[in-house]
Amino acid sequence: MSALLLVLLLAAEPATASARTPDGRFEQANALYHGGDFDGAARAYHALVDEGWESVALHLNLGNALVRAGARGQGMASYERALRLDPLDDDVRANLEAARAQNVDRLVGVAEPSLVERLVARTGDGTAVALFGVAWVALWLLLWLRGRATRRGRRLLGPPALLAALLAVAGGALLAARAADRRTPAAIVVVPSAGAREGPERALKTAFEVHEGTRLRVLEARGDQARVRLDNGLVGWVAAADLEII
Amino acid sequence: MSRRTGRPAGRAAGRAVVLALVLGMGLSALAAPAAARAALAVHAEVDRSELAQDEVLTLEVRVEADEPASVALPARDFDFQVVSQARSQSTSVDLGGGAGVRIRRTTLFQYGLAPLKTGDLTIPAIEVTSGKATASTEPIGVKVTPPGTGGGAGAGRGGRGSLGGPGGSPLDPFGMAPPGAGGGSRSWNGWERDLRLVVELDKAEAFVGEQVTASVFVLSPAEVVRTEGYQPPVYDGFWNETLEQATQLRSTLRKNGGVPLRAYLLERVALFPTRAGELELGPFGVDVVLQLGPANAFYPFPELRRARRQSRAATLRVKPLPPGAPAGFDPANVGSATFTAALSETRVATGQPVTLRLTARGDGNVKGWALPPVPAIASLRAFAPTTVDKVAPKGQRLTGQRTVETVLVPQREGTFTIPPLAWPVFDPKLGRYEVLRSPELSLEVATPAPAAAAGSGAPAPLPGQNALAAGLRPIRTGGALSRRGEPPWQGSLMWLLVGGPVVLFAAGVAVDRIRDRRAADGGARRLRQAGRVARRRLAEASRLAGGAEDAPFFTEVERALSGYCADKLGRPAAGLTRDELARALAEAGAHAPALRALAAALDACDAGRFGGATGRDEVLSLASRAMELLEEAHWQAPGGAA
Repeated sequence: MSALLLVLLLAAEPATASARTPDGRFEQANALYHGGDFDGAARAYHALVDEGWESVALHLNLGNALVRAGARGQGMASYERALRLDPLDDDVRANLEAARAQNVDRLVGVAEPSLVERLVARTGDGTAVALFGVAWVALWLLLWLRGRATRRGRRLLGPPALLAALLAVAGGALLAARAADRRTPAAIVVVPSAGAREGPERALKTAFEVHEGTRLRVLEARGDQARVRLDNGLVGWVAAADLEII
Repeated sequence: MSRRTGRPAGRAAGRAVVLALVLGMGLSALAAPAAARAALAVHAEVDRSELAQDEVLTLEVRVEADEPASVALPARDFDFQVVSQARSQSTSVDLGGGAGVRIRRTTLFQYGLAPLKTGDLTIPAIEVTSGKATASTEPIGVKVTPPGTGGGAGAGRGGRGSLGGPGGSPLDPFGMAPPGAGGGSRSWNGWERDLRLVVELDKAEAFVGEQVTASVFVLSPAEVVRTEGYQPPVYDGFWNETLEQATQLRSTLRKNGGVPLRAYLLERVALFPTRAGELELGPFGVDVVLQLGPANAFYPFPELRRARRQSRAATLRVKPLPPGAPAGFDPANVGSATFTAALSETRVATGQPVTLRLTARGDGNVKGWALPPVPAIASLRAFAPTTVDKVAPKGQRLTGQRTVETVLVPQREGTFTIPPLAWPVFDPKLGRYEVLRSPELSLEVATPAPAAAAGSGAPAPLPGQNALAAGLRPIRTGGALSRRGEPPWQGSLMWLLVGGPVVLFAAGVAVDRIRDRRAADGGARRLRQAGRVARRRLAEASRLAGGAEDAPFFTEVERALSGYCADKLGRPAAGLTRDELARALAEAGAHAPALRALAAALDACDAGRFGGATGRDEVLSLASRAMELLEEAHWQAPGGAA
C-alpha cells in the first residue's frame, strides 16, 4: 500500500512542480481565459506581473483579459507595457488601437508626431541599445585599425568610420529620447471619468474631465494627486488612483 | 605828453558810444510791444477760381503776426468740406527799421476744400486771432461746375495769382524740389494740393449682402515715406472683411487729369451691405509723411513733410434683394456658391458615431452663410453641430468655405437615409435666387459581426460584454517569461559597452606606441654598441688565431666586420655584394678610406679562408684598421637620427 502511495506521489510530483513554475502558472491563466473566466485569468496574470515577471505575451494576455472583463483602461495600460517591450508587435498594436477607438475623449489640437517621434516610439529599448552598441564598438574598432593601416588602408577605412560615427550619434540620440520618455511616465485613465483641477487641492473647481482610456503624461505627483498633461498640452491635476502608470 | 592828454579823451568817447547803444536798445524794447499790437496782417487766396464739384481747391491763409495765430473757419454758410489741412510757420527777427527788436511769425494755413454743391459759391470771411488782436480775410468767390467738367488737378495752377504754382517751373513740374532749391515755397504748395486720400469702390450699386470691394489709396506727387494713424471709418451698414493691408508702401503710377501721381494702396476691404439705401463709406483718415526732393549727394537730407488727409465719403447705392425668395431663404445667403454633403462613413456599427459634413463653398460673406439644419431622423441621434470656416482672399474677392459638422449616432441597426438638403441662395452675378441641393445619403448600420470574435481563440462575447472584446486579437500561449529589470541603459553592462571600446582602443594605441618606441630604441642601441660588439668578436678571433683550423678564425673576423656593418645600416649585410655594401655604408656616413680598408680586410679574410695566402695576424691587423676608420665615420641611423 505504502509503495503504491509512493508511486502515485512520484507520478503527481512533476505535474505539481510544473504548475508552480511561472510558465506553468501562465498556462493555467491562459486556460482560465479560454474557459471564459476573464476575471480569474486577469488575477493570475496580474500575480505574475506583481512578482516581477514580464513578456510581451504576458502583457498582451493580461490586456485582453482586462478588456474582456470590462476594465478597458487597465487593459490599455497593459498593452502599452507590451509595446514598450516590443513596439513593433502587430497584435498588441491592433488591440490597443481597437481599445483606443472606444475613447470618449477626442483631443483637439494634437500635433502630428514628427518622423523622429515616430521612430522613437517604434524603437524598443533593447533595439536602441543594440544599435548604439554595435555602432559604438565598430567606430572604435575602425579607428584603431585606421591608425595601424597604410595610407591606402586609411583612405578605405575613412567612410566606414564616418558612417559608424553617425550611427553611434543617432543611436545615442535614440537612447536619450527613450530615457527621456521614461523620465516622464505615461499613464492611462482607468476610471470612467476623472475631473482635472488647476491645482492639487481637492477644493478647486474642476477645469476639465478626462475619461477612461485617455493617455496622458504624469509631470509630477504630490500626495495622492498627480499633475498630468494631455497630448494637446492641456495640464491639470487628477487623483493618482484614477490613473495607471505604464 | 600828448599821449597822457589823449587817453582820457578817447575813454570818454567810448563811454558815450556804449551809453548811446544801451539807450537805443532800451527805447527799442519799449517801442516793440506797441508795434506788435499793431502788426497783424492777414491775406487769403485760393489756387483757382473755378473748379468742378469732384475737384479740390486749396485755400491759403497767410498770417503775419508777432504772436502765434489761429484761424477759425466759418461754421455756418460754408459750402465746402475740409478734406485736408496743413500749417507751416517761419520766424524772422528784425533789429532795424526804427522799430526795435521785432520777432515776426509768418504762418501759412492751407486747407483743401471740396465743394459740396455747384454754382457760384463764396468762401466767407475767415477770422484770424493773434494774441489779443483779431483780423478777417476778404470773402472769396468760387465758381463750381458739375462733376466731371473740371480740368483736373493741374487746371487751376495757371490762375494761382501772386503765389504762382509749381507747374510754372519747367525744371520741377511736380513741385518736388526742396525749398530753397530755386522753388522757395512753391514746392510746398505743389505737393500739398495734389496729395489726396481716395476710396475707390469696385461698383456703384450692389444688392444687400453682395460683396463690394473698397480700396483706399494715397495719391501723392512725391514719395511717401510712411503713413501713420490710419483711421478707417465705422462701417455703418456693412459687414466688413479685410482683404489686404499694406505692410510696406509700394506705389503704382497713375495719371489724374494728365498729372502723374504715385498711388499707394493702404487697405482693401470686402464690404457686404446689410441694408438697402444710399450708404456712405467714410471718411478714412491718415497721416502722410512725404519726402520732398530726392535723397542724393546734392540733397543728403531731403525735406520731410507731414500732412493729415481725409477721404471724401464714398456713396454706394444698395438695392434690396428682389422679391420671390424661395422658402427657407436666409438673407445672409448671398453669393456664388456650391453646396455638398457627405458622411464620414457609410457603414458603421450600432452606437458608432458618424459625421455628417455640409459644406458651402464659393465667394461671398462666407462667415455669414446659414446652412440648412439636419432634419431629425428616428433612431439617429444628432449632436449639436460645429462650424468651421476657411476664408481666404482670392484677388479682390473674398472666397472660402463653411463646413457644418454634425455627429450622428445610430441607435439601431438598419439603413438610414438622409434626405437631400436644400440651401436657397441669392446669386448677385446671376441676379436671381437658386436652390442648391445636396445628394441623398445612405447609412448602413449593423451589429458587430460575431465572426470577428471567432478567430480570436476565445469564446464569443457573452451578453452584456462590450463590442470591443469581439475584435481583439487572440492571446498567446507560448513565450518564456523573464524577470523585469531596469532599462538596459541603467545597468553596468551599459557602462561596459560605452567604456570598453574606448579603453581597448586606448590600450591598443598604447601598445603600438610602446612597440614602436622599443623598436626605435633597439636600432639606436645597436648603432651605439656596434663597435663594442665588433671589437669583442675581433678579440675572440684573436684568441682563435692560435688554433689549428683556419675556418673559425676567418669566420669570426668576417662576422665581426659584417655584423658591425649590419648594425650601422639597420639591416642584414649578408645578402649584399661588396659594391652594394660600400654604397650603403657611404650613404650611411662612412668615408672612402674606411670603405677601402673594409674592402681590403674582407678580401684578405676571403683570401686567407680559401687560399691560405694571407696570414692571420695580417688579417687581424687589416680588420682592426678597418674598424678604426669605420668608427671615425658620422653614422646616420636608419631612421635618420645621428
